Amino acid sequence: MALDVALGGTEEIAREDNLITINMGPQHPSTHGVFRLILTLDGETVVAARPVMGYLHRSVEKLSESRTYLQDVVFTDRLDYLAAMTTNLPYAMALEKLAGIEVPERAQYVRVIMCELQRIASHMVAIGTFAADVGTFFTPLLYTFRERERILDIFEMCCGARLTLTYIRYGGVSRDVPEDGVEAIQRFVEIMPDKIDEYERLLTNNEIFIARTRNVGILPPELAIAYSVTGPVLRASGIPYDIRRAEPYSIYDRFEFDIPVRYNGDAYDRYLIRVAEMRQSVRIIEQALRDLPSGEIKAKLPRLFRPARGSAYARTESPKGELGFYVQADGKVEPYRLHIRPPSFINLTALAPLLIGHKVADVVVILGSIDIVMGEVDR
Amino acid sequence: MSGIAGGMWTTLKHFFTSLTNPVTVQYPEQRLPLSVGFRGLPRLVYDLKTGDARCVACAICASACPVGVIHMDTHRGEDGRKLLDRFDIEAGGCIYCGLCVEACPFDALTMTSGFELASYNRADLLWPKERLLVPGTAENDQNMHWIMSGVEKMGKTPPSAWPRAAQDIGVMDEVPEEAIEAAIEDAEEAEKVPAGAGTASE
Repeated sequence: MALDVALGGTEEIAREDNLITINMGPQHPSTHGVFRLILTLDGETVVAARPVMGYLHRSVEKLSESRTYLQDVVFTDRLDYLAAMTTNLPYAMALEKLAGIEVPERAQYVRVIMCELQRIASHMVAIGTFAADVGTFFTPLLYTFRERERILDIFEMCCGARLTLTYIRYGGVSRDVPEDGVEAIQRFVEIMPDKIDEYERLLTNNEIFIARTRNVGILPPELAIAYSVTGPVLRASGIPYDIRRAEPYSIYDRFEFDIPVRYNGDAYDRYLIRVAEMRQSVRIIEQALRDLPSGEIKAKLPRLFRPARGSAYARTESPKGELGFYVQADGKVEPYRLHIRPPSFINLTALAPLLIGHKVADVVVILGSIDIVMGEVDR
Repeated sequence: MSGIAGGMWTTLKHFFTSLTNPVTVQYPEQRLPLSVGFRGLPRLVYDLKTGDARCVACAICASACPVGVIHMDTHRGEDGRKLLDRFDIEAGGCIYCGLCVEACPFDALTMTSGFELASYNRADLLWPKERLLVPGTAENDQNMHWIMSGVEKMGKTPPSAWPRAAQDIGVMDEVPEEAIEAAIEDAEEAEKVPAGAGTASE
């Protein structure tokens, strides 16, 4: 009966059981974008939850059918707008798979450096906003954003923009990394471990933070696999699956890094996984900088990219999970079909069972710990 | 309590260091410097010596724009080459991706550091040709070439095919006829690209 109410049942049932149905509406400071959650509450406890998505739908997949492959790169920036590099990458990889393009070595290393920098930046936003949701207001957020500014300055040196980068293109990258860019990345890598320690000093052992996030929103591993959850949420539930290790793409098989795993599956574990992943990303960037070769940054390609008929799917480990692009080409300058497998959308389908039994305050914490970006949920 | 105490000690330390060494910048009185090749509003470049825009009205930028904010009107002059009547960029619609700058084979578009473009009425957000012109100084050219540094050049067009107007005055080197013909042909070729993007009318 609770489910009936959640699906828009009659008011009489609600009054009889004293259940309230409210909108944690699309306009809400803690829903990480325009996300609507219809909650059925028994007092403060959530009895049923129904997510409604689509408020940021921009028909990217349809629009891309009437634009050339190059013009579609700008759409990929705007899907997961907090992690543009890692969203440009699978699109480029799908096209390279489709047309058999080989990416030069230097471009591969630059791609890895940029994607790992982007992973750190995305986790900084995730941890900062998660802490803000929990109630630390702005302090950890501004601390992580202080270092994120360094990353955005590096991106500005390399591609002229801070957020919507359009940097990783099919065939390589759009511009080379300038000398001061390499120096800035080197300086960043040197200061970063201390800064991550500082974030941990603010949050990890904070008794209030632990009280609010430990054992909240426990996702059992069987449920995680059943819902196709990927990314830090999956690894916090005990399943050590990371596409960079399971099915290495680009040149990730040349680097030494650990895959952090935790076994409790609560919001606290998801936070700890993201912090540990930031440390591992710093390791990868150090190794990539050390081995960065000189050379071309883009494969030789015709002006108007016109791949032959065919289709390709490329998947990568974005900061939010498995991000995949499926491209179907039919010999024209625009794709026949472009489909995006967004990690936030798939992870969000696991939200409803996590919320049942928790209080309204925990809803915000659980939603924040899954780390969603509505741009890629709705496309 | 030790976790909370550790956190509070960290913020207290920052309170004192920020008094002399703040992380923030007092915008708008102070501004941070922008990098070379920063993607601000696209601008039309005019040649320093002649004062003419380098644009030859081929409209490749209009068809390269993913959102179609470049509007051009061109017509064919008596000698067969295209002349530019109108060149507008909607600053309110531009996504500052730089694809137009990368597409231009004549080095006629660059991106400047302009991002403070708010205005009090919509009409002001449409930048016409006169407002868009910037001189082809070394700095603007450096920005442009850095933006274009990874791009495949147009097949037959040499990068230095200056427009005929510059030749007529006699201050530029002779541009071979074939180069101009080839550029116009390439432009026709590029116009066949689907018009989900820009408009170019004759």
